[in-house]
Amino acid sequence: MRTSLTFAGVSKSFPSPRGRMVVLDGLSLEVDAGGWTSLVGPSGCGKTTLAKIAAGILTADAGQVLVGGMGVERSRTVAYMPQHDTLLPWRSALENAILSADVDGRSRAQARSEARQLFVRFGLGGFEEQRPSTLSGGMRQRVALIRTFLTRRDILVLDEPFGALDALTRAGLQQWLSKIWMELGHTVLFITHDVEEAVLLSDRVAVCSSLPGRIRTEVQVMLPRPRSRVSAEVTAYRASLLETLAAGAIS
Amino acid sequence: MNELRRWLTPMVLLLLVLAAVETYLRLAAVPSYIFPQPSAVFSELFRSFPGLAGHALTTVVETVAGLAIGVCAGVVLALLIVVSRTVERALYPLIIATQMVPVFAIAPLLVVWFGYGIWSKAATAALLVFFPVTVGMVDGLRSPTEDQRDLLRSLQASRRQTLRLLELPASVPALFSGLKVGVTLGVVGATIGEWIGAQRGLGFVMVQANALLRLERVFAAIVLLTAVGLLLFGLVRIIEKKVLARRG
Repeated sequence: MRTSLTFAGVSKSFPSPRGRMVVLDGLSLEVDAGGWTSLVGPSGCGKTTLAKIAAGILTADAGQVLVGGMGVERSRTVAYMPQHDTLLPWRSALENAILSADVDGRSRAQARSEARQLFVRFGLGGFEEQRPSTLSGGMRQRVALIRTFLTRRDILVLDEPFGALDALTRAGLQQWLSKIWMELGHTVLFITHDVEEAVLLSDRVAVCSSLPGRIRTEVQVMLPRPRSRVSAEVTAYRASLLETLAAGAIS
Repeated sequence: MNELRRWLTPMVLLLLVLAAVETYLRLAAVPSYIFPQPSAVFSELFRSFPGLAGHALTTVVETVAGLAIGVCAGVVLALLIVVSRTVERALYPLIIATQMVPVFAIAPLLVVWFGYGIWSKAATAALLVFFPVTVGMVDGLRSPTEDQRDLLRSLQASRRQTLRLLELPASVPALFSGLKVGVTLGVVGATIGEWIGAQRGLGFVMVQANALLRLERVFAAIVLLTAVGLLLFGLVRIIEKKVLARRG
């Protein structure tokens, strides 16, 4: 389960009242196999558009998205987690988690037993049969993450998964996700506007400019895990990335 | 207790209105062939109850048959409309046109085509029922959010899978909304069918009694018809509550 994800000169524009709005303009980015790459940038810099292109939801106007040498549209190697948990209200938590088994035609019984193990491991034991509406925001997000893991795809594209959570829940989930990821070793493309979150979780942070989106700089975060948000190194990375972002916002 | 209070208030209001009507009719000595006293209506209702109940049962059967046909047709039409833009453009104006033609104009034709039995009434009812079901169901099938659709797209779900896993389950509440409107229209449709040509049913009772100026019997039939409508509506609501509670 080690596959890289490559964006080569990806462009995308959308129709708008004042002609076409260019959202991505020849963006290139390499997400290393088994590594965690975060994409940070100001709101509306085309991060979500890039995530959707990676997930095969949108197609690029120009450029290529390659997954182990294949086009992403039919690769079935990318799992996508949208900004909101997007749990289906009529399915139990467990049923939500095994959605991909229904789509891929895998055995439900087996998917259920796999999901049960992950529920226990993700601290959701006992909540399997609850409806999403009865779960807290953090729990719903964990169910959505289990759903993403259970797609059995090598590459995870996570689009601001913690964006809607309060600071405490968010910090807890960051630590927890980092731990799970170290065990499972997926290739991760993580979209966020939170620089600190990016530094805490990533091997590499790519900063994108505001529209049209391009990669401004890439920074390798060479710090051992688990990382602490108050350590001097994390603070230093954070400060330098914020500076880059601020410089981009002014120009 | 709450259930009781919910029923009590309209009941008290109804009794007050009936009492006022009764008093006025008695004091003004209005003849029963113009406006029967409520007491006369109820005594007719009790006296002829076995016979009237049989007619009511016929109306219920016709309504339920019409409902079944109308709901099936509505669901199928909604699916066709949602799946294909071309079908939508072709069908939508026609579907709306069917609701512009008065049922009274079509019902005699339905009697010619489907006979004097229950099927011409079921057809009249279905004609009224399918419309709210179709419209409600189309809305329901289109109710999933863009996020939910993206999720299924990212899993490379086929059109059919998206329908089965997302759109159909999402449309269940809308289906019940359509069904609740449909139930009341179904009773109306069946009764109209019976007016046009029937040998049984509450609509038939009304036409006959009206011709004989037995207005207390006409009103007795109306009371029963109302009860039938409320009963069916209540039934749909109970099923709706059960189903929606189960899916959370």
